[in-house]
Amino acid sequence: MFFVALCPCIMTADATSFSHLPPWKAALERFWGHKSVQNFIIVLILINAAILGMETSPRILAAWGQTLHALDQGILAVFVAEIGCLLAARGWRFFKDPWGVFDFIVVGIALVPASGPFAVLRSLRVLRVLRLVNKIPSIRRVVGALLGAIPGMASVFGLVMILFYVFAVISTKLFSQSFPALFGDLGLSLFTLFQIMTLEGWSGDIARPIMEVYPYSWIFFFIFILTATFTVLNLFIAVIVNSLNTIHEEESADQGNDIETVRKELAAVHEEVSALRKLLEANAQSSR
Amino acid sequence: MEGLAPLSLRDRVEAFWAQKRVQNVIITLILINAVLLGMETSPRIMASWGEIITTLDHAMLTVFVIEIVSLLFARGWRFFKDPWCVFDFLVVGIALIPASGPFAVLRALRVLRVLRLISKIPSIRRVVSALLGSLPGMASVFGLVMILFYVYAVIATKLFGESFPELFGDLGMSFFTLFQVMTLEAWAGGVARPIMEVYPYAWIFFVLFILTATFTVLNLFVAVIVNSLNTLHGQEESDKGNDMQTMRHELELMRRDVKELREHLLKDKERHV
Repeated sequence: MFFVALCPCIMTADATSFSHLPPWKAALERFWGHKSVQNFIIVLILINAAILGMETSPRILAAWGQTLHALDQGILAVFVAEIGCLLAARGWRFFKDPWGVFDFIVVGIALVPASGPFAVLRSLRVLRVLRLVNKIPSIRRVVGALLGAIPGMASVFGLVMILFYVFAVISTKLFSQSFPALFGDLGLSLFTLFQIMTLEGWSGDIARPIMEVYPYSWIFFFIFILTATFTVLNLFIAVIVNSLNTIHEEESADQGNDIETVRKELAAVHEEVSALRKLLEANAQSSR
Repeated sequence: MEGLAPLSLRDRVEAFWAQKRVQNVIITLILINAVLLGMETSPRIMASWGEIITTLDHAMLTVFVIEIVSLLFARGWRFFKDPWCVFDFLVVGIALIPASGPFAVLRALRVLRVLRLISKIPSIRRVVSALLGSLPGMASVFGLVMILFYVYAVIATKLFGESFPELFGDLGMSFFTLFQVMTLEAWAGGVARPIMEVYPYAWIFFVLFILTATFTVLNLFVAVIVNSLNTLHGQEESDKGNDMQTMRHELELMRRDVKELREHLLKDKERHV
C-alpha cells in the first residue's frame, strides 16, 4: 500500500480517475490496472524470462523446442493484447508516459520479422524481461530516480567531454609518431584515454613504454588520471547521491516532512495569528 | 547623477565584451577552434588543408588576444585578481611563445585554449568552482597522502631497490610504482608477485599500502565531491528561499506577533477588571 501511494501512476485501478472516460475505455483501464491482473502479468514475464533462458541451450531446445516456442508465442500474445488494449484506451496519451513507450518498443521488437539485417533483433527479444522494472513499483522508483538525476549532471558530462578532447589532441600531437598503435589518430587516442581512465593496464601497457621514449610523459598521465578519474567519479557519485536524495525527499515529502511543507505550514500559522490579532483589536474597539 | 556621466573608455570596453551576443560569438569561435586543432592532428587533412587551417587558427587566436588585451586595458591589475582571467591569460598566452627548441611541447599545449569553454559556460564554471573550492578544505587529507607516499616510497626503495631497479630503483621510480599500485593497475601480477618470489614477506608491505593509500585517497576524492555537491545544492536551496535562515526569520516574526497578542489580551483583561 505504501508503494502504491508513492506512485499514483500505478493506481490505474482507481475507479474515480476514469469517470471522464467513455465506459469501454474505463473498463479496459480498470481491467489491466487490476492488482491481480498485474500480478498475473508479472508471473508471465518471469516465466517468459525462464523460457528465453532455456532457448539459449541447444540441448533443451532439441528436446522441448516446440513447447517452448508455443509458450513464448502465447505469452507474447498476452503482452501484445495488454499493450493494444491500453493503446486503444489511451490513444496518443499512451506515448506520453515514457514507461509506456518502453513497453511498446520492448514488446514490439518481437513482432519485427527477425531476418536479414534484423537478425540481431532475435537476441534482443529478451529485453522483454526488463518490463519487470516497470511492473515492480520499488524497482521502478529506483530507476526513475537514477534517470531523473542524469539531466542535472549535463554540465559535469560536458566537462568530461572537454577534458577528453583536450587530452586526446595533446596526446595525439605528442605521441602519435612513436606510438601509432596507441595514439595514431584522434579516435585511437580517445579509446586509449578511456582505457587509462578505467585504469586498465595504464602503467605496464601504456605509460611505462612511452616513458622510455619520452621520460617526462609521466606528467601527462599523472594529470590525466587525477582529473579524468576524479571528474568521472564525481559524475557517478553525484548521480547516485542525487537520486538517493530524490527518493528520500519523495518519501519525506510523502510524510509531509520536507522543508517546503514546513515553511508553508509556518506561513499559514503566521496568517492565522495575524487574523486573530485583527479580530481582537476589532472586538476591543467595539466593546469600548 | 552618476548614471548620466559619460562612460569612460575602460567602462565601454568592459561593457562590450560582457554583452551576451559577443560572449556567444567567442564560445562559437572556441568550438570552431577546437575542431581545427583536432584536424591538425591528422597528417592527411593537414596535407590538403594545412594552409587554410593555420590561417583560421591564427585569426581566432587574434580575436582571443584582442579580447584579453582589451580586458587587461580595462581592468589594469585587477584583471589578475580573478583566477579565471589568469587562466585565460595563460592558456591563450601559450600560443604566443615561439614553440621551438625546448618549448616544442608548447605546440601541443595550444589546445588548452579549448578549456576556456569552462570559464565561458556558466553551469560548467559553477561545477568547476565548487570542485576547486572544496580543495583547500581537503589540504590536511592531501598532506596525509603525501606523507604516506613518501614514507612508503623510502621503505620500498630501501627494501626492493637492489633486486628490482626498474620498479623501485630510486625515489622517483618508487613514487611512480606506488602510484600505479594505488590505482590497482596490475599491482599483483606486475609488481607484488615478482617481488614476493624474492622477498616472501613483501605481501605485508603491499597489503598495508593498498589498504591505507587507496582508502585515504578514495576518502579524499569522495569528500571533495560530496562537499562540492553540498555547496551547489545549498546555493540552489537558498535561491528558492527554502533555507533555515528564512524559516527562522518567519518564526521570529510570528513569536513577536503572539507576544503582542498576549500583552494586548492582558491589557484588555485589566481594563475589564
